[in-house]
Amino acid sequence: MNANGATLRSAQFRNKREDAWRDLERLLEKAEKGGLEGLTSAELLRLPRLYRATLSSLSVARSISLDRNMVDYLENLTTRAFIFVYGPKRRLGAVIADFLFDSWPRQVRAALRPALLAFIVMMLGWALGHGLTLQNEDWFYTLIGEDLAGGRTPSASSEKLRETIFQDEEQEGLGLSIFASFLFTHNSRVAMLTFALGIALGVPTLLLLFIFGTSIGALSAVFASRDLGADFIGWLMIHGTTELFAIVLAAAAGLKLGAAIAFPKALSRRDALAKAGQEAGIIILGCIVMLFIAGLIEGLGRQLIQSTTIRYAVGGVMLGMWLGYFSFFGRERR
Amino acid sequence: MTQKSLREIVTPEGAALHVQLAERGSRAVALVLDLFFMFCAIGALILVLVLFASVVGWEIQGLAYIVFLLAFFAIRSFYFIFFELRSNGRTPGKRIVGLRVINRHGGPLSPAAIVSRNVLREVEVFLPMTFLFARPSSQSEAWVTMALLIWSGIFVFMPLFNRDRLRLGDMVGGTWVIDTPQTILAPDMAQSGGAKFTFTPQQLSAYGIHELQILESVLRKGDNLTLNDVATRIANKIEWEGAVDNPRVFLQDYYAGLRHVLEGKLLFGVRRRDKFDKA
Repeated sequence: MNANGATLRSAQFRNKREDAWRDLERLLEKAEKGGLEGLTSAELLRLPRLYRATLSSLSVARSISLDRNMVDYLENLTTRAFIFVYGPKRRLGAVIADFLFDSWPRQVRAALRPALLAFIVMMLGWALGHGLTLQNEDWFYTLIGEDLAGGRTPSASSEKLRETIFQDEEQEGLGLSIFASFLFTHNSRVAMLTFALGIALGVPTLLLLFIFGTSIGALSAVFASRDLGADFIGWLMIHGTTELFAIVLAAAAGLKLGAAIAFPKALSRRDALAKAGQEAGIIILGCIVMLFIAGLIEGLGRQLIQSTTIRYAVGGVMLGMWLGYFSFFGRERR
Repeated sequence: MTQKSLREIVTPEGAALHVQLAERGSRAVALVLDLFFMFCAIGALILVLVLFASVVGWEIQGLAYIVFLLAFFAIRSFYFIFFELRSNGRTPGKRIVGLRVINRHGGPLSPAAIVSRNVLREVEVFLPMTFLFARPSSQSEAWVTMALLIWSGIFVFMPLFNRDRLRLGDMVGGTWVIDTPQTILAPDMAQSGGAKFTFTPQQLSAYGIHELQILESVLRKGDNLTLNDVATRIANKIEWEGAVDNPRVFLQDYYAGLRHVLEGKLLFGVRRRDKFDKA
């Protein structure tokens, strides 16, 4: 009651609706602690209804009440409810299935042209590195750092080089595994870097890819000059088809981002970046999966597979699988 | 709530809700907590692998190392995505600090947005870390590493460079990170107390909505000194005769009266913003 004896309209309004707000508050506390799974089905049905009722209370309160605390409370309550009501619609499993069977292949297909560009640039780098090193082996030291080569330098004897691609059973040990994993982390870093550099409008991405290609080219030249070329490619191929594919796709994703910034067309730059970013993000997540699989193959295949023919076979099969996967999955419009 | 960090989102029903952007410091703390949890998970993994190897035999150390590396890679890549997908924008670190990721455009947080904003964290956090821990083997490599460190530093500190505190991942994912405080509904200040003091309409037309709400917060939180001070000031302004022996009751009654008058005006669509507003 105020001085005049009449009750405020806002107070009447509050008295009528306060119970519903408290109910929603209790529901939200429960949901925030244990997730939506913690609510009973009756409560789950009540939630959207209470949300809409509170939303309308908020609109009314904004126009008739000057109680700052009440309006803030309603706004806060509505926002908290909004987050749950408009939360994700599908369970984690369905999201993963959608990624694997629909989004990922589709996005890769959509990035075909940047991927081809990246592939061509890398191959050009390979050709250049190979050609230069065949002509003059000193190029090797320019193109590859000591640690990356890991003993596979032109100064190594053919025997030693052969040892690096084939190994006896007794030679297994921590050292070789560490080197394998070093290569793996190095290549993952190259993939992430090409993606990141894509934001810098794409040119550094192509540059990095080219340089990466030359380093592989230098290595292949060293082995080729000792007549171990085919064996080296085989050694590379087991996990290399997957890994190099992943690097090319990572570069394609980066180029997509760069293109969005450079050529936003109808959208604002920020919106174009957001749109391209979500598409590129899916491609990059796929690259991470591919790198993971490549690492798996590298770790296991290195120990187990010694014959060059089998290595080519495995590499070829993996390549065929990836190409088939990206070409045929996710084609139907659901 | 400070005005500068308030943002508006429009719900699908067309209502405008206000959200509070998270402090950069809070986000940093949440990130550190998450990295710590990841670190613990990896530590647990190492422990398990070592125990396993010591039981089965040390020859499998090569294999164990590879398993470790792959698992480390998996944890590092999928931790954030997994939790943000599962709990609608909350990782354990964010939950502790009280933050949440939301869609800037008012819709649901899509999986693609979650994926892309976290994949970019590779670029923002892990890439600079690798440059930080790099050991360049020559002078020119050192310069290159330094340059790359500075370049990637731009990404790390991106939230400092824009108004919406977006990091690169937020820009690409179309998201905001917001504070999620929980406001409590307090009693109505106009309903508490008898009508000990009465005021004339003339006296109640001294202030607008802005002063009314300041008075409300003083009544809710103020100590006796503030109450006394404000009561004296109002009494002087409205030329109140008589003693103000109980400042709290005086202010409560004045608040109730002022609110009644101003809400009455609201019904006619007149919003008197503050004491200078001639409405």
